[in-house]
Amino acid sequence: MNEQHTVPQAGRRLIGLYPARYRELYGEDIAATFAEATEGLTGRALLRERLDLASHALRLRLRIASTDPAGRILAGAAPIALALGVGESLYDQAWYVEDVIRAVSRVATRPALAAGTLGAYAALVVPWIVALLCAAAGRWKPARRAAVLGLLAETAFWELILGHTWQMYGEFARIALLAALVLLAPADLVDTGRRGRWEVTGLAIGAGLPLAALAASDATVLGVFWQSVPALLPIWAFAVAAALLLAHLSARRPDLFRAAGIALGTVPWLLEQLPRRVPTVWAATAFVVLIGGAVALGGIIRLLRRAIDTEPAEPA
Amino acid sequence: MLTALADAPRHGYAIIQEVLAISEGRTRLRTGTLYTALDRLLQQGLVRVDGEEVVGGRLRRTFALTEQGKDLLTEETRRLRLAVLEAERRLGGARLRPSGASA
Repeated sequence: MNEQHTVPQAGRRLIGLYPARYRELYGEDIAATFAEATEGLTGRALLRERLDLASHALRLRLRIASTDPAGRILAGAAPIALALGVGESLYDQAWYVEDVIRAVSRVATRPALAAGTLGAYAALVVPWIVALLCAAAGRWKPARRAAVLGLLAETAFWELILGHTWQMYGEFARIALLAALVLLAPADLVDTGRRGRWEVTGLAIGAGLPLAALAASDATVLGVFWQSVPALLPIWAFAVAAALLLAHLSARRPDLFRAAGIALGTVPWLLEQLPRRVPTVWAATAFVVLIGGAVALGGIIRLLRRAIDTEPAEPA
Repeated sequence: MLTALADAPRHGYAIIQEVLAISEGRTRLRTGTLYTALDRLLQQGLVRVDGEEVVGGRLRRTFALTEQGKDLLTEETRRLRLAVLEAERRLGGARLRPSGASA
């Protein structure tokens, strides 16, 4: 085999994306590996190799690689944001259950309208269900792709159906932050072990399903309570996330970066609540009291544990 | 990746080839993914840079397992072996059991 490998133009440009210090240390080595790995590759396979290398370089440049504290925080935040995104979708779409039932009953008489309603509903719900199933199976990259599809469908929905109104800015801010967290988190650091999978599934179902059930019953039967459900939303979701945060913080050897990520992962949910559903002060108070409370309680537990551990043993 | 380095130090492309062979063609590491993992394993002290050599006018680094990396791989191998033994024991038991038996 010929040992002399020349790095193609594109490869040299990609190596140029690395931070100078890292490039100095590993640039030549990476360039040689890249040249060998891409030998004979064309089309999509070559494009994927290039994107993968560019992603590694940019993560290092932005200091969000899996070896950076910011990368570790993002890896903690992304699954939480995704789980709450699923919960939010379950809740949001529960309000339209009645429309879907009506559309199904009119398939024979008004097929175009029924198909439009069901298609829009499926476009908004299915990506999130797929995202949850993939995350529950430990497949983070497909879960991430499905979540981004869900966010694109939501953006189109808000843009086309409701148009630009000031209440929608919170929604768009939530979509942008959620997409950023999910896409920027280093995939190799997201917890896809048993605990991580249970957390995502539990949080999505725990945060979304009870309120979705309430919203569905509101939408179909209990019309009088419809205003109470949105008010419950921030409290319930933050309470479920706070319980998870407290569980992490009170562990014997807590991963503080991951714990910070859990708190960060709830912020998209907060943004969404602010202007649209409930008074800003209500959602913000729920966030501060519940998430802040979990942090404070976790801190107290750590201090108590440290005090007990350093207490001198009683002389015999 | 730890398995790919278990028997000998290797450079980047050799690791990609080893992982492909060990996974029977199912896992093909891309260059960026390989160095992402190496960065983390180096930081965790599981892998070290074993040496540098110039091949074809180009600097190549070889990577090797550290003692900590070897210990982790040994422990993980032991855990997997126990799981496989248990699965084989149960499958053997199921084959011996008459069809329709519930216990």
